[in-house]
Amino acid sequence: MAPKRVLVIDDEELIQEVIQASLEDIVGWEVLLASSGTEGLTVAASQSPDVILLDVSMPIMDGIQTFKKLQDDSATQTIPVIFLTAKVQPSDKAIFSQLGVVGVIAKPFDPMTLNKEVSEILGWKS
Amino acid sequence: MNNHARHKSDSDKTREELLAELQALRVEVSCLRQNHHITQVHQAEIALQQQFEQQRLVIKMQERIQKSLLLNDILNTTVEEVRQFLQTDRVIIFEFNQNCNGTVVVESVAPQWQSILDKQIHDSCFGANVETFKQGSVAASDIYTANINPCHLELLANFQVRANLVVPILQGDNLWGLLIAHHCTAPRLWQNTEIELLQQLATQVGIAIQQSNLFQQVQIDLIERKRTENVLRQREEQLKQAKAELEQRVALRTAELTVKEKILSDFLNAAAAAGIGIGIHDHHKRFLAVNHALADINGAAINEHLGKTIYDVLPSMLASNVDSLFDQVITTGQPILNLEVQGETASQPGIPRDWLINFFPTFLEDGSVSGLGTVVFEITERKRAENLLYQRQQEFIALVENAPDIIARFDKDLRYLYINPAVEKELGISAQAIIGTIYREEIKIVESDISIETELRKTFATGKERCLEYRYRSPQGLKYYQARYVPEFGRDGSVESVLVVTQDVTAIKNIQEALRHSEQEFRSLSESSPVGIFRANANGEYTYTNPRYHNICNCTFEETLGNGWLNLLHPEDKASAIAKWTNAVSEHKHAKSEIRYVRKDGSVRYCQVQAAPVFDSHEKLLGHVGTLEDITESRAIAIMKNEFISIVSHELRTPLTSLRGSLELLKSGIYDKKPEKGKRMLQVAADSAARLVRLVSDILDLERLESGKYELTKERCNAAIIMQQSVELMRGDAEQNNITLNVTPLEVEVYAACDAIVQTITNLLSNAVKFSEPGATVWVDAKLQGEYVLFSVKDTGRGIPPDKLETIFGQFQQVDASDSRQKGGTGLGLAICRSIIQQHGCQIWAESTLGEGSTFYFTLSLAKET
Repeated sequence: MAPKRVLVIDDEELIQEVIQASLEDIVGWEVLLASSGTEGLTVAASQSPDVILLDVSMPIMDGIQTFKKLQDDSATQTIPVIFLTAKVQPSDKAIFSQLGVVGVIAKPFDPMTLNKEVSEILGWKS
Repeated sequence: MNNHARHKSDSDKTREELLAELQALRVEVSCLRQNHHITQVHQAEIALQQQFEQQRLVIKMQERIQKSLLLNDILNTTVEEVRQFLQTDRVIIFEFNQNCNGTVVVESVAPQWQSILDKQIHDSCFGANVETFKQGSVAASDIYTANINPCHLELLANFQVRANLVVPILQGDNLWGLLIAHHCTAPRLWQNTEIELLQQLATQVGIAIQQSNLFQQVQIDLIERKRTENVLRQREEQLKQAKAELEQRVALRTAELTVKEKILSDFLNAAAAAGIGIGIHDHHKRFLAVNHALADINGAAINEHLGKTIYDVLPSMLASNVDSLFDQVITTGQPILNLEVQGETASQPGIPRDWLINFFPTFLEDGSVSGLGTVVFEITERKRAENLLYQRQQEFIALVENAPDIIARFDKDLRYLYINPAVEKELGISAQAIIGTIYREEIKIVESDISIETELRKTFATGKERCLEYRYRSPQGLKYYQARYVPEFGRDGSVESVLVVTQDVTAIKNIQEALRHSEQEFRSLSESSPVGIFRANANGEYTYTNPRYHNICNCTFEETLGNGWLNLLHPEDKASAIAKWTNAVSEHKHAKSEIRYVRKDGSVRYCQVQAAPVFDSHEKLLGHVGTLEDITESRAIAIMKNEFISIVSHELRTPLTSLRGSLELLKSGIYDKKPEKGKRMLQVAADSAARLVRLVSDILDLERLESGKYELTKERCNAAIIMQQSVELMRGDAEQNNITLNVTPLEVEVYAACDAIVQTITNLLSNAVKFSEPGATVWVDAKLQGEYVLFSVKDTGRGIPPDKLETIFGQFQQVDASDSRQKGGTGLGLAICRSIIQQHGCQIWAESTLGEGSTFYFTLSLAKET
């Protein structure tokens, strides 16, 4: 499987670091980082990542708003989005499934298997 | 020429003939004068003159008779003229009546002589002279010398008659009367001419009488005719009137007959409509009239009946039976009544019907039988009703005989007319032994003021139903009875008997007592219940709500009743609440829903409503009972709890994610040969762990403070020390951020938990440092304010929006959600501060101007002087 380009949008710098280390250092994927929804939209449009790992709880523009804007933009609407979130209440999950995201990965995740979870959600073959 | 010798009587001659003869006589006289001796001539002239006068008199009388119809006038003139002419004393006309008697009807008498006018003459000698008078005249020159019957002579002498001349007045062959001349003065020799004259005049009188009679007859005839005409006219009028009356009577009779026919027709139709069949027959038993009902019963049309006998319309066997009954009625003149017959009608074959048949005779005015009538009553329904009634009676008797209640009837003497067997069970006496006896107080009623006998008498007296309850001490114990006294009225409206139904209600009473207790308990529970309680009837209308219900909804009892409670619902919840309630009522189901109620002050209460159906022993819905639980607070707490859990979950998972991730990466060994990377991962793990520790610590502090389980131990604390201690704790962070901490200690003692106050000030300082730009100053100050000390921590940071000044004291309620990441806060610091100060019974708040900075204040009580 060719290396994938992954955009991580999360306001938690420590988590960004862990995700980046997990995907780059284990499977060699390219990881693009954005600390806010606004920044994420820009990067997504300009870099056309293969997948976006999107945090939900973010200031100013949260993950849901960011997702809707990605869907509204023709340049980004085809990019699959996986929510990577600590909001794991049943009510949260119901909201996510209605939005049309391709998958949800709960925090805390296992960095050693993160790439596999992403591949499995997107149907990528290892 | 002798007048007697003339061929024709002078009376038979016409006037012209007489004048002609007179002229001839004059010529004859003239010749005689010339040829005879003068004496003879003179005598002839006298005779001639007398004859002439005689003829003139006769002619005069003739003319008078011709001109006049007045007989009396003629007769009077005649007697007067004759008496004058004859120069005699009396001339009369005598009229015969029966038995040859008569009356002097006309008289002319000289003044010196006796009048005999109107004399009734009874002359027995007349009878012998009648035939003589008929033959001609009778003349007597002197009655004393004439050979006159002595009795007649006496009569004449009475009339002073000396000589008389009598000529008959004839009417055909009948002797009507006599024309008589009396000479009273002296005897007189009647001349032939005088006799002839009198005869001629008698003839004229006869003519006049005849004419008069004729005239009278004509008059009578005319009168009779007129009378007849009048009679005829009257008869005609009477006939006309009679005809008119007859026509009127005929018209009236016709109208009456028409009305009667109409009445009969209407009667027959009305009877038919009422199901009553009617037939009328003549003497030969032929139908004269029949209505639809009977025609239908007989199975033939009305016109197929009329003029026919029953043999023409009924089957021969039935007709024969009926015919014999007809004969019986006609023969005896007696009706046959109330024969019950069952059959079917042609219009409704297959449906059995019952009829009550009556045959009755009809009579003519003379009392003879003119025919007969048939009246058939439809009694199918009555028969059914009778059967049903009989059945019901049997059922009723069975019910009464087997009823557990004592049922008795009394007459006015309080004699048992009836009592059912149930009495035996209660009193041990058979019903038969009681019936017919007079009532006596057999039942030992506990209440001394109740007497069954009195109640019975009152019921008879008032005619009103009575009901009473009493207790009876039986061998089995105290029993309760309920008795109803029902008056039974006779046709005259008076109470003839009284029905008494006595029911043993001991069990009911016990149940009622238990129910009353239960109800009382329910009331007590309901009145003090912490939840609202309501009760509704089978239509879903509220019949009861408890005080808590009114308290929750801030309404009155009356406002909830019926459907009033719907007005208390939140408009957005009303439709769904009504739908659910309607469904629960109609389907007899439980109902449970969360409904908002709007109170009068506009506040909204969230309530949990539950209702359960209540059924009677026959599974019939009696209504619903339910509860209304105010969950406004618990709901808010639950929401807060959920939100809190969600936030805590998120806040815990975030550092855990980086902690776990970094440790897992380290554990995998991928950084064994990359020590720098490994070291960085260790730092990530350490930072994450530190954040986790702070978070857990804050959560625990807060939970401990707000749970109420942990009470701060307050003591006398020096405010200056607390302030300085807090500043010293934060000085490192401040210097690291290039922030100057400026503290103005206040030497005063407060009554507080020192460590908790230090934690409060350090939390406030931590926030101030975090949100201040490098180089800025943060002030910690305190001042006395009455019995309190007012502490303040002031920064020159970005400031807090006005709408956040209160909420920032809530859990995880930072001004900006990213503050927890960027500023390293947990979002619980201010919540902890508020909890600590509130536990001191004091206040904490913030004042701020955006872009200029914020000041946080809190108060503490001064320590009391010891």
